[in-house]
Amino acid sequence: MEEILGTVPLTWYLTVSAALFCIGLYGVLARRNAISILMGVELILNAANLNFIAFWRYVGAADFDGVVFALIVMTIAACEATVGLALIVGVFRNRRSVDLNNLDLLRG
Amino acid sequence: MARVLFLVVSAVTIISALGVVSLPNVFHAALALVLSLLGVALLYALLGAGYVAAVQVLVYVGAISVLIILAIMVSERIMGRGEEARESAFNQQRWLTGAIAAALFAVITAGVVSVGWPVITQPVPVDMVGQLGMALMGKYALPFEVASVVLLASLMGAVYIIRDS
Repeated sequence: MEEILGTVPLTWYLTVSAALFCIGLYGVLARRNAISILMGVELILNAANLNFIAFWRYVGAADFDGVVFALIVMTIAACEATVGLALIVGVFRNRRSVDLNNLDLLRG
Repeated sequence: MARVLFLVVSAVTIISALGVVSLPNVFHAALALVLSLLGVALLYALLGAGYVAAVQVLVYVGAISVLIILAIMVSERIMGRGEEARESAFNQQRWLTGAIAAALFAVITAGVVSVGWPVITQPVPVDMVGQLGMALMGKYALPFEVASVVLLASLMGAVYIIRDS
């Protein structure tokens, strides 16, 4: 464990997390399918969690702030996935499509 | 050695994350998402947070992936059989958003590299799971309970949304 800490710098983890975040952002902004957008949101939440754990490990491992924060983010992500997928299935029942370009019910 | 392991794991994670956003078939994208989440779990393990890695495998790789795949199966016209499969999986802004995401990545990376982080190399506590449990029931009891209430409320809301009226 000490060898791992001695060799992999913190910035590498932060860079991987930034890459995951930007890939997820691209998925959210560029896809048309609602389920694909939810998968992009999952990638973004994982990037944030990776940052929490990396900072916990490298800046303050004495208490469990980062770990507890990551666990609660995971709980909220589970809530978000449940409600989001339920909404998508409900929309599919009504409109027979999950393509967001077709969801213009509120357009005046 | 540790660097090689880190590079391999993060390469798998990022390449499968690129698959999540670029594969046209949603089901293939969901399978790539499983691989990417497993890679993130391995990164947690490399950071010494074994409990979080286990929770990641259980919650994300287990539960959320199954939920996503089930939702794909329920709305089966997106599985490549309907007429929508022939249309593009991306909207008109895909090149613009790609450029924006790449620029954002460049900005974040430049910022992260230029800041001198005050790194303290402390050892991970020996009995980490036990101490984490004590912390969750002691110092962090309120957020823990609020998170469980939010989870219950969202599950009830999901059942209400999706049930036949």
